[in-house]
Amino acid sequence: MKKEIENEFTSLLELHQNILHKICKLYTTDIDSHKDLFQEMAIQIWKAYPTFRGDAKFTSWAYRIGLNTAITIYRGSKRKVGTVNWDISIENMRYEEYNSEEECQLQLIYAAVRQLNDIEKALIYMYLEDRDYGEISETLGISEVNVRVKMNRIKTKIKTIIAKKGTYHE
Amino acid sequence: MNELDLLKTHWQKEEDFIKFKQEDIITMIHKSSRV
Repeated sequence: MKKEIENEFTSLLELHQNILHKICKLYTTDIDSHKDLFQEMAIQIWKAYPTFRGDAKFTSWAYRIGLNTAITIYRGSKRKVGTVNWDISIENMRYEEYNSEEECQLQLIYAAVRQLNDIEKALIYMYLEDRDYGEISETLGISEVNVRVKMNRIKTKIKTIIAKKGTYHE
Repeated sequence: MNELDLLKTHWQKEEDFIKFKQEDIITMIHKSSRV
């Protein structure tokens, strides 16, 4: 029976793994830490799987656990995350080729997003996933008003980070 | 287009992430958690 559940879970996660890769893309700057974070999220989602009710969408349920895992890990190693500076972020992204000006701009934006704190990254993730303010508020345990305020601050912060580099043109 | 709009447009496109196979995921979930 346990093997059947394990197969069911791993098959679901294999199918929907991109939701976790996207979280990794915001929280990590190299392939090894990407794999480590993916593995940790998979472990936590598996541990919580007995509480998963089939009436909820697997992806909507799993991404919340994944996100909370990322927040927990990166909150616990703030100092380490804080040492990941802009230049390192850019350096580690060079495996992604810049094919166009837009792509170059995108890499700069991703690098700026990686400078945000753990909660801000979680907020950006849910914004990019088109989650509404109510769901973001519930997932992060902050009020909807606070979500809106934080979103505005994040937009300004990203602009400021990019402007400091002086290479981004709107 | 502002930064987040550009990011969102890109975000919704399919990306070439690493593809873990089911066997890889089975191995992962049996490892020890660091949390």
